[in-house]
Amino acid sequence: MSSALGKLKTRIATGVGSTVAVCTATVYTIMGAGSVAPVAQYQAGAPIEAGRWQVVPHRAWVSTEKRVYGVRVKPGQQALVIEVDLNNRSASSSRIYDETLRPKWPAGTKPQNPDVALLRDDPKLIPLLHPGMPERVAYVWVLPDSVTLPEKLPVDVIAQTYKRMDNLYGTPLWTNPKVVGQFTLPLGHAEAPVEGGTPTDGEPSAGMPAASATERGS
Amino acid sequence: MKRRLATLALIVIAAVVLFAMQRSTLRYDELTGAIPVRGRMHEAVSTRLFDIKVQQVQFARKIAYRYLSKDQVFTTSGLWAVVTATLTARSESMSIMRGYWDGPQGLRYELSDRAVNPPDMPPIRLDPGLPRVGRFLFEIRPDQAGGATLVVWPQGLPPRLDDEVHIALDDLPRTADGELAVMDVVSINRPDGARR
Repeated sequence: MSSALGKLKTRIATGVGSTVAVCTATVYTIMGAGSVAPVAQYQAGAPIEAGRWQVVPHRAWVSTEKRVYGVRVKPGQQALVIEVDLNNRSASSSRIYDETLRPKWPAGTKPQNPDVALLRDDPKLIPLLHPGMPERVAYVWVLPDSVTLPEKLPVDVIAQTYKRMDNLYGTPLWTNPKVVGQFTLPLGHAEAPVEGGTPTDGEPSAGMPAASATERGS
Repeated sequence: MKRRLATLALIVIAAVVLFAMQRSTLRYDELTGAIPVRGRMHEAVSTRLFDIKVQQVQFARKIAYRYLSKDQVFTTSGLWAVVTATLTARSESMSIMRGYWDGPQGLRYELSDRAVNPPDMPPIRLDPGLPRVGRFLFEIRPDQAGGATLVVWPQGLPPRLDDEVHIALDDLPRTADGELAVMDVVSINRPDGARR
């Protein structure tokens, strides 16, 4: 009897690693199966903290002009433009904002990465954005004409998490992109050349009322 | 009982020592990183590849720039900062590709990319024995102006086990009452900042 108990003890001792692993996996599976928390909803003009960036959505519109903020739109294509204020919350100048906004595309649409233009003076593509200096930018996605976009377009805001040092080099790292919020903007249609409407003085975003953000271009 | 206590104490001491060793070990990045060469304004700073002497810092609300016979004015949501320096290569021709404005709290501002190919700005080509003027253009937040450091390195990638210049920007333009002197417009076409 005592030898049988000893055998059982030995077995548990040798298999303790796998036992713990199986139990942990089970617990995580059970916890993961719960209902997913709904994504936080934001209005135009409301600041959204998204990791490296603070995003303030302003307006969205569709254009078939040949050039939208310096982005070429060929015949048979349309451009979806989303204007936001971006504020760099990190400690260094950055251009890594392409993946911050992701519109909920109609099924079957897979556009390329957006072009991002700085709306100050002459629009400039792929601008460098500096720490703590909010700027109005436009995300421009070029889509085929055949895609029908909804009247109100929900847009996911994606944030990365900051890690002070990675395990290999000990350098700071932004990682693990996650949806942290969603805003929905009515889609305007711009036929005339869209110029102006960009901030002209030192205060690009602060005084911009949310209402004017939505009525332009419709 | 005594022996057990001694063993326990030994384990605790070992854990503390190991933790201290783990924490104090330098990371790969720190072990093989840049070697800062520190200096101040109006003082020649020598590195392995080049010499640099920062003469002047100017602040402006707008930058004027004439490019391909088109006059442009660039605004900013903060301040423009123009750092003027004299640079010379030491033993071979090389280029200065990068410059950074490190604010007092460690915010790092890269060179502004707004103007296209401004003259005398990075990439600045240097030849041995031929001093030339080089300028660095930044867009900074106004509260990052005082107590900042200019960081310069040659070529493109961050230096590994090589010199990196850190110059304290301690002689800023001031008005009579000690405020930061901010000009309305600085032209970046000419080294003296005057408009044509």
